[in-house]
Amino acid sequence: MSTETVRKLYWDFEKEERWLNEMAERGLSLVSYRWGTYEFEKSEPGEWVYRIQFLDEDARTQKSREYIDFVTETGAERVTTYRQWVYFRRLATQGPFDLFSDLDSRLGHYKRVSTFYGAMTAILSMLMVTVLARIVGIIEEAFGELWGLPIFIVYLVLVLVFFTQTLRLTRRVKALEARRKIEE
Amino acid sequence: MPTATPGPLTETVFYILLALSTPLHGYGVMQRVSELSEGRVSIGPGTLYGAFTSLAEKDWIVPVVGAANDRKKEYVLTDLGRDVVHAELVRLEELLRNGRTIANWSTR
Repeated sequence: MSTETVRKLYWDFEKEERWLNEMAERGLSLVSYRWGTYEFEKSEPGEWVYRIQFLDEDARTQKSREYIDFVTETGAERVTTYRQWVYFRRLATQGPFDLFSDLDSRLGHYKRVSTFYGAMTAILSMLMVTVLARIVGIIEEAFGELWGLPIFIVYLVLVLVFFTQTLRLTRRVKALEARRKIEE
Repeated sequence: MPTATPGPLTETVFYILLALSTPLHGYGVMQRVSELSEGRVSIGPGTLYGAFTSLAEKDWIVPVVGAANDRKKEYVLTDLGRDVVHAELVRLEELLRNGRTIANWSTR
């Protein structure tokens, strides 16, 4: 079976999910994922529908495995897992495929992701002011002053990425909470 | 002890409870609810898993012990769960009665 490898980084899981579904529409179906590396197999265009979920805990724990088994028993396939993320797919012929069908559970999912990104932002920001300044100093001493600034910028970008994701998800949560006041 | 007098049930919970008047596993509930609502309501597996957990905590449903296929856990409605469904029916009937009486302008 011919495969195609695409290197890409997504911070927004919904954009990632849309992209995977666009690829599937074009006949390239995700079969594995490692950090930043997607592997696709040729399939019938539009054969599969993909869904990504952020689990309560690491995908390898007993609790997560029980959940993943439950989902696969409803006709979906576990494509791959990565840390706390799980990638499912289901044949499009089985009808629309959504993991969450009401506002409450969708809200719960967004909140989990948003808490995670929020925590990452906080941890990275704290590291930035304490440890990083020292590390940059050490690197500059060892490799010359040229290296300090680029590393700092990469780090700053990372903090900003997590921060904007947290903001985006918080807005999403608020919008859903407003809707939930009058509907389910 | 859990009580049988909750607030209004969500559509998802109401249909899951109805479906579990006979023992069913996850996929069975999804299919049954879809049949009952003639395809209008389809429950996602993520939503259903969470609902199973919280409904079992409330003792409205229980896992069936010694089910034919042990890996696929089946659930069934408890007596408490039946009471909850009946209480909800009374509430829904009131809504329907008042709705039909007052909002009868739509019959053109």
